Amino acid sequence: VFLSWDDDPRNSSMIRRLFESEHDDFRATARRFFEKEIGPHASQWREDGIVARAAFEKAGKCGFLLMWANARYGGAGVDDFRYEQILIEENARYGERGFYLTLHSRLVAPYIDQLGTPELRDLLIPRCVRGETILAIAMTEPDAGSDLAGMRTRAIKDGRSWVINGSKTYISNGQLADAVVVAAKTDPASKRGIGLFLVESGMPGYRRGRRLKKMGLDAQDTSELFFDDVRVPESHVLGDPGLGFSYLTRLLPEERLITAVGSIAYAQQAFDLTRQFVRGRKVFGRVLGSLQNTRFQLATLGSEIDCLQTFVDTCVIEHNRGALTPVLAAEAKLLASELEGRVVDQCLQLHGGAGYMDEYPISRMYRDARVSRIFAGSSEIMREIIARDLDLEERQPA
Amino acid sequence: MMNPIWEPEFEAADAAFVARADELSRSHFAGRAAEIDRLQEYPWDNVKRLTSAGLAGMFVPRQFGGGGSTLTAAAAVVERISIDCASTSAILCAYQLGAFPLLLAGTDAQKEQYLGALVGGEGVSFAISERGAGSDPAAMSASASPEGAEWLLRGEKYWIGNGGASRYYVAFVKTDPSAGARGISAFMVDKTLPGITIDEYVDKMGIRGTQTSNLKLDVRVRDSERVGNLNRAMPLALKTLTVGRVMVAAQSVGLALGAFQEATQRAMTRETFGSPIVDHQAVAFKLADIATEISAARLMLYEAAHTYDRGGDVAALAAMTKLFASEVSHRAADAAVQIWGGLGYCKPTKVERIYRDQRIMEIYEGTSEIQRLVISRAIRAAARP
Repeated sequence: VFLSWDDDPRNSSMIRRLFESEHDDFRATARRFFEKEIGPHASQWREDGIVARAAFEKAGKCGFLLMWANARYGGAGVDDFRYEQILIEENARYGERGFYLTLHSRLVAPYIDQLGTPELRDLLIPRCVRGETILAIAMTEPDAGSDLAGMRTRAIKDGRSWVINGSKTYISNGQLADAVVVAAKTDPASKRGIGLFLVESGMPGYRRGRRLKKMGLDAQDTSELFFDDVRVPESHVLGDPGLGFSYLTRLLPEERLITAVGSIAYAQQAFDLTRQFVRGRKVFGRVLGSLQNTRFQLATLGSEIDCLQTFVDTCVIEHNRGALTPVLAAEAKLLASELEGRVVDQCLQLHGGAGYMDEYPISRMYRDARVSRIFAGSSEIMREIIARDLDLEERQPA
Repeated sequence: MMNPIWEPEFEAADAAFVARADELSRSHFAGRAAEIDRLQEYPWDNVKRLTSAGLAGMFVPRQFGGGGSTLTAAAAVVERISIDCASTSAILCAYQLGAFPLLLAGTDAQKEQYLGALVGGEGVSFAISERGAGSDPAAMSASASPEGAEWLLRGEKYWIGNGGASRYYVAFVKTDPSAGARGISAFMVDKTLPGITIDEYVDKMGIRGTQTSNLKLDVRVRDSERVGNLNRAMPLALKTLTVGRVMVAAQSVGLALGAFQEATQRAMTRETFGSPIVDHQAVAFKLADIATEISAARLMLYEAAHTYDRGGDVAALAAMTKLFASEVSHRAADAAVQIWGGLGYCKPTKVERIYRDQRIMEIYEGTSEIQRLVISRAIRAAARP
């Protein structure tokens, strides 16, 4: 039975009942991969501000990309989210946070698979499975984050193709991506008249902008992208060019579940690192961990992590049976990102001065964690989604 | 409209210092802050301006060439500069306070030499921490042993604020290793002496314009370089830390004010779903909380500085002020990033830098835990029959 992914588990670590023995075997394989192929390069990639392409190819060789894809495309045909959860958790612990394989596999590739023409699918999905084509999705603009109605990028039909103009920002995998799913307004009169288009590197008028310098997530090549009269052929239109809004909305619960799984994994990682640190550190002639303040803080954080892990695991089970509602996903994302924030903050504090120095991982985890409460819908948006479901708004008189 | 945060009122002499700081900060420090953070560059230009404006040595008594200012004025200047550039304000604190043990216990000759140098821009740093001894100086291992009329200092100090930039160091070392905290003495050392090595600078999350270094000691110094009584340097360190805590509270309040200004400006101008985000209670109430907390921290800060200036004992009040103000600055920086959203996570937004700069406020000059320890000890001491 899988107890905990802590290397030094507590005596009464919680049993995570959602996993079967095949998941435990998969975890062992994944762990070896991240330990051997990803972790050792992480500091170089953080310095470079970008992950090496080879990381995707290696993950592809191991069968870790697009695991849901059909066997004829080289996939495993397995849509059990627990396997992805394991990749996220093992990458968090042994890999590199900026290595966005899950974004590639689960948040972009499905648009091509489900909405692309058979030809596009046959061409691209096998390459994505092998990690030869890396994917990104371009939704956000400087004035259109959570509020997609503010989107300015336009796609105008011209003959049988579409012409895209505009710019996007905060695009994860922005430099690495060979193919980008771009959201653009197709009907300026309608708030929701959005289409999805696949833009590939080399298309005239498509240009990558700056790699953005950020507080954290140093190895993630978050970028700006520019589109000047980019002509997209009919073959690269994804689904109905008027229904992009509802396509995007469909994947949002999974995106939030993915960030929740990540946040709780980073919280656990910070907790374990700190537990180790306070056991070794001496202060006033005593072991830091033996002081009541330290013991009680870690006791509280450990309880919160265990409790929330159970909830997130339940959400994974719900998701596997197609029952993860937007509200549940928002609750998981809200609580997990806020818990991650509290854990890295208090853990940094327990490191004292060392926690402020780059050489201690907790310092980086603190910088990294700050975005968790912002991306994939900020905490405020999560609260908004949850609150709407409570039906508290005043009704307009009929 | 004045913003509703409580504003201190200053005596004329103090106000003159604050006005000078305001002018310098506006014209020079604000514009340099992003660059020195990005390049991790020690801002010698800013230090020169602080020196020539008489702010570096403002807290040094006039008889030694300083500005003879109150602690209130020193705190106000640090607060003002911290609004624009936390690194520069931290450097200014190091200048104002590095030589504090000399003010407390130095001989006239020492004061003349070192305080004079400080006023002229040659800094003095406080060197007490070691890798394995931060808040617990009794655990230090650097030592001094007598050799005739001289002392042989050996060991390594670490995490020295303004390290490498300062010429002189007040090094705290053990002179009676069996006596714990009652066996520590302080010596002045000059970094240009052979036997002094500074060769490690740490890479920090924030206040990246400051330098934090080691100080390796393998040097002989005359007994006349000893500051204060033999084996009795700990009270000097503690008193220095008390004043240092008031100054970190001042940095914290300034930083929180900077975060508040940025957050307010963004909340008023950024529109989502058709209206400025300040119209959402989630945003407006955050601003209300920050404004309230900053006012409270600021009231504490100036009351603590004023009490010190009147000769009162501020050991516990300084700890409370530092604890509270640094935690207020945390909440202010956090709220500011949240209000800025994704942009607040990206450089070179000011709140991105403030968020990283802020985190040291709860750590240096004694962590929040140490402040709680100091305060709880004071409670116990007072309640003892």
